[in-house]
Amino acid sequence: MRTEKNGAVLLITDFLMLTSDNSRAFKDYAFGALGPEHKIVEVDLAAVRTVDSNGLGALIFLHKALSPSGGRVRLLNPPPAIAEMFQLLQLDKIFEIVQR
Amino acid sequence: MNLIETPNQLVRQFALEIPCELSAIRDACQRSRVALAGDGLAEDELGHWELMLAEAGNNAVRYAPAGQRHRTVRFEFSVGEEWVEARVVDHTAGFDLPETVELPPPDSENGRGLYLIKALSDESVYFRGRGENHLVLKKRRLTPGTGPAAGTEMLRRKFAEAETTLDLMTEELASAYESLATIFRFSAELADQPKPEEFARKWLGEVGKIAAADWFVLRLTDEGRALKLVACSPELGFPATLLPEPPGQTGGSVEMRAANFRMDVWFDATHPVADNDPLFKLAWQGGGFSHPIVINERMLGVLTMGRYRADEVFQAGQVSIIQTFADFLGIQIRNTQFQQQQLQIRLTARELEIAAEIQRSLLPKQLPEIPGFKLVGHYLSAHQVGGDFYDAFVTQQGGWLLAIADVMGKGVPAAMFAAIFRSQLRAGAERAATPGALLTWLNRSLHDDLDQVEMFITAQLVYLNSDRRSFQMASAGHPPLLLAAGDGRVQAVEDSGLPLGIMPDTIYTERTVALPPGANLLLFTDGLTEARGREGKLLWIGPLEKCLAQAAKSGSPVEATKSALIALVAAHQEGVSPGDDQTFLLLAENRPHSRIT
Repeated sequence: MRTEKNGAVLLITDFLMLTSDNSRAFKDYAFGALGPEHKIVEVDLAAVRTVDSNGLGALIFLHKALSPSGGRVRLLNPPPAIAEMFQLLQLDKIFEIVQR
Repeated sequence: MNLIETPNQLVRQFALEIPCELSAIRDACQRSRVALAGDGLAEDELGHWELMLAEAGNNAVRYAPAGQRHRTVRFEFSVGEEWVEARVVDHTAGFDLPETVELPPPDSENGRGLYLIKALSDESVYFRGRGENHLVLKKRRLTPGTGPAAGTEMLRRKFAEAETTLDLMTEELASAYESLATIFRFSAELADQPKPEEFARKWLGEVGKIAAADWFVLRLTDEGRALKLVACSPELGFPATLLPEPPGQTGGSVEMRAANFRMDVWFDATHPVADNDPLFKLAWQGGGFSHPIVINERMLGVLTMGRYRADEVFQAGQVSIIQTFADFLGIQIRNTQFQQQQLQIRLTARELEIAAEIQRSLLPKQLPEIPGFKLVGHYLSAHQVGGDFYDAFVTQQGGWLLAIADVMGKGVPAAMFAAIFRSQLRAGAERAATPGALLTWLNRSLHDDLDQVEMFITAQLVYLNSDRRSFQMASAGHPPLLLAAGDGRVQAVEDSGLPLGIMPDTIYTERTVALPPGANLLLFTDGLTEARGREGKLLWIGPLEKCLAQAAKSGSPVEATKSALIALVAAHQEGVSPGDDQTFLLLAENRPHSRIT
């Protein structure tokens, strides 16, 4: 897992799954890197092969922690199967999903 | 037997047996994916199967009781030309899989696993059994598969299954009449017997006669999971309490094994009871079995019936009578407990009302008088007990502290953290010279407790120096405050930091802002900006800014502005109940030319 910081944007990238195995570690890693200047957290899902309901829980926790102060979570390049799951669960309503 | 008998030439069957650990589930899902890929499933199908198996497997691990974690989780697959069926065997207490699963609210962190299973499978059924449960998932293949002709083998297997089922049904029918007749007699008696325990004592002897048992012992669980003796054959004497064995440890008494594994445990000459077993004096040379009484996933107790001679084993019909009566007894006990729970629910509702009173009492009864200004607060709870909170008091430096906070979550836990926050806020204010330092101290003080329950608090603190006409503001993940000047200009003042409880070493800073003439200052929680109308549209911050600007420009008295803000939110909601607490603190500078409205 790796982060890149660019102004108000924090990018989390380089991980292969977001599941019960690593959802807690993901949360700790994300909040460890998050600074007061970050308004948008981008999560790069391009290389991610599996996201389960625990992984979704971690993303939603991040969204809930950021949203009161106007921050938001943006999901980048989810593979088709994962994008389909976000649609199925209607999570595309709370996450901005972007293909670049 | 397969879930649904459809024309589906079987290609092959395989199974994986894995330890009851989350990491093993992940590995098994990947191995299953590889195996199914070998059967020609398409990439999309493989993704769906992997996700369904992960959700089912995670549940099998997460909800396995400690005493069952030594048992393996099993994935069994039947791959056909048209369908794939997977069976996930767990050793949890089981659950009722509803016909349809509702999607949880978008911001809920849990509750999507079953929805995914239902949505991705074509058919899903959950069979609860004694000792193990089977979640059967079936999904039509996108492209039909091919494989070795196994039709004859499949027919042979199904024939053997059907024969076994017929044998069991015949035996079951033979005992059913006697069981039903007994239960009808018991039911008539039960109407006059208010306590199930007394009823049990009286009628177990009768069941023993019907089933030709020499002795019986009934123990029910107490809150601490100990099995307490309720009834036994009149001449027996036993210790009143048999302590539960440590989690995960196998062995122990036959009764505790039946309770822990939730399955019948038999003893006879081949499987004798241990010499330290409380039943040893009865069962050392005889036989019998302990039957767990489980109703609606709850372990209620264990009924043991036995015979003194090991060669006189119980027949299937007698076993059925004992099991049926034990389960019937369990239902009576559960009904009584349900009535007691209903009473408890009423008591809890009363406790919640009291907790709500406490929550309201946390809010200051009277806000401080600030020379040259007027301060008012508003709190509307969305539930009986909410997590919003505000406070205002004089600081040791001679200024004024205005605080507003929102505890993530609702109900009693949120109210409890609001109470803790209040006491810590007042304690910390004596030692912190700035709002940033106070937030830093509060975060360190509350972090471990919040982290333990995965909650957090957003908060905003304002140190007001009315003499210097300025204020310092610090924020912990809280919405910005609004500052309106007498000329109608409005600015959103923010200073972002993480919510309290996320990272223990967060340092919070503050910013200093001058108070313009005729200032109106609004601190609020996101329950205001996220108030929803009938079609779900959010209010957002714009209308609040407009309302505040208008009030500042016209010099409205602070009470009138407060009423206008409440009316604004209520009008937007169009009668819809608020989904979140709505709280604000409003400070307005007194103006000699204020209109009285």
